[in-house]
Amino acid sequence: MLRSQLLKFSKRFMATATQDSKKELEEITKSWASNSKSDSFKIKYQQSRRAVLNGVGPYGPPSLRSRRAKLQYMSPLGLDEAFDSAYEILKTKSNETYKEIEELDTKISQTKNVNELEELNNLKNSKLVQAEIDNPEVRFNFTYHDKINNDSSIIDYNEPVYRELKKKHWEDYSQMLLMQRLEQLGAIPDTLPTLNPRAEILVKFLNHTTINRWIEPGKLLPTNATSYPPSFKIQEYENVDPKKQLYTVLVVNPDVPDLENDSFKTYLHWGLSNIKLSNFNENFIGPKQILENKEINEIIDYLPPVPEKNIPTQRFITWVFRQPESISINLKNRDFDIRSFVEDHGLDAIGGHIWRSEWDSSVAKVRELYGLPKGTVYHRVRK
Amino acid sequence: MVQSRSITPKVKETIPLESLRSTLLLARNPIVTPDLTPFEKVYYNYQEELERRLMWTFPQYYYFRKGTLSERRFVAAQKGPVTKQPGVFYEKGKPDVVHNRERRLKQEIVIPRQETEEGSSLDEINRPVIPNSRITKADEINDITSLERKLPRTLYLLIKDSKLGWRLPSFSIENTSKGLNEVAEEGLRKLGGEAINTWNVSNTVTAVLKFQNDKLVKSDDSSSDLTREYIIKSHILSGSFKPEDSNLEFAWLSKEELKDYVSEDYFNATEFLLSDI
Repeated sequence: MLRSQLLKFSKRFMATATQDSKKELEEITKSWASNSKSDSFKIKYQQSRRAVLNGVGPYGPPSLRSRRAKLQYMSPLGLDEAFDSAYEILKTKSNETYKEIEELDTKISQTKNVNELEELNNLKNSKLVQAEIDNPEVRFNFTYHDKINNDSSIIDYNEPVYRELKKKHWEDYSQMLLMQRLEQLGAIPDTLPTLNPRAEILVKFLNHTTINRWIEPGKLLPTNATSYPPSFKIQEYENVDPKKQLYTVLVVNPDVPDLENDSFKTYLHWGLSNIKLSNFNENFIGPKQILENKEINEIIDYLPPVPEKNIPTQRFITWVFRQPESISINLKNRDFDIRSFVEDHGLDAIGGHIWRSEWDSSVAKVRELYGLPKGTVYHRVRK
Repeated sequence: MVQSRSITPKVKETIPLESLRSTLLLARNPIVTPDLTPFEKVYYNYQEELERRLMWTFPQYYYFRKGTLSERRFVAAQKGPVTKQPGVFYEKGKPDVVHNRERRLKQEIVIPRQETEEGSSLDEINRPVIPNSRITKADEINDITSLERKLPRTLYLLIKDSKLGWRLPSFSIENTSKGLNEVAEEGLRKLGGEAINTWNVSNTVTAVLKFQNDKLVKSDDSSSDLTREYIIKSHILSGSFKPEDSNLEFAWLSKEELKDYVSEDYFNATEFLLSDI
């Protein structure tokens, strides 16, 4: 009895399986505008691509894991027809935009005026965004894949459309969070008067002693974690030329006790200049890049946060600037006036980051590691 | 329809009255909603299906008290979903039934047929609503003189002039005592009878056409021998245009049709006045 049932079931299962595999091979006939050529404008995984463009087949959506859930799924009636119709409309629009881009290209090749050329390039950039922003495959790629550690064959930030999508994503949360932390912790105006954020700056400490993840602005980090220099990711959203643009990174601490003046002074904990990003995807500045790239100038070597006991929490603010020309100075003294430095070199602040440190049990170890003198303990009443 | 306040054209002594004319742009507004584009059709269909699928399960307990005859009738009339049975293989997944409704689908509610007395009007209430056709008889035989054609479009009255061909009805001004709007209205009634009710959008003119020897010239032309046609905008509210003179040809046309009737210059000069819907 049981055996016969099993046999029946397996037969039925086989039947459905062969039927499904036939349907699964249904070809994808849709394709976006003929000029959209980048691989990142296509969904990589064929089953997902089929489900997005052809609609959910008889085997259910690939995003669901279990066979039962896949069978049970029913997409709303009329969805596929509405999708197809909308796709055609958006595709014709995109084709028109690509035609305009072709016209712009011929115009760009004819113009020689620098200002006009820049204007035309910006216009072309916005048209390229417009041509692809409604592509469902682009939207799918951006929504369901890692946006920070991006795979450039899926999310390619060299394409203006992905930069635009990421910019909006950043503005929705991370940019506001950064500005809130910078302002509430007084990094603005204690270091620089203000910031017009145009690039996303991500900070990470890459070493075995600590958490290997992007640091939320304003986080209080243990001294152990910050014992080796941080790594940065500079995600530009504006249409700059990554092959020419140079960047400066300054890590400053405005909370160093200044006993003579009964106040605080600013220390420069780390300074890098002449950083070049090869493109919009490879924009990570870690120890490997610093060692390999001889053009990067270290203004001053890294001094890890070693806060003294009994002083308030220390703020460590990372500022990232676009520099108009290369800077090749080296400093010895850590006393630093960031405002005059920025003014002297004509730096343009595009982004920042902040983390905080306070005394903990690992301070002594880090001091020993860097050969620093023993720390002072501050008391309420000065001795 | 004589307006109490009207604007009389300021005519200098030097300009002869024959060079001024009052033209009427008489429109019949759309009677039904505009035709849906193919995309709009499938989009609204999808939205409706989605809304029905996400609808609340019909609260049967609220409308029919438990154990009553009406409840029993209602339940009997329902088709009911496929229920989940042990040991059964369901090709489209196990049914997800709550409160006698398949939650993955929209709920179809059947209203039980009433046993009614003879001559009761209840059957008539339950009869399905069948909308009238959007395509009328006039559409089928392409009767351009009928007002009941092209229901979703705005139609404009055109008249065939023996000399100048098809154009908007235009009237000469005899004296300065009447405003341009009054001239146009009276002219229309002289042509098409009193059985027409119109409503003027404004007493002021909406546009001016300039002619030189019956040929359209540019709007910035300022020659001394120009004939000016002042266009008054108006809607037909009821009645119809029935010409007294049976030889007079007239037509009610939409913007696209109008293009084929009038000359190219004339269409280009009046295009901006005409509605796309």
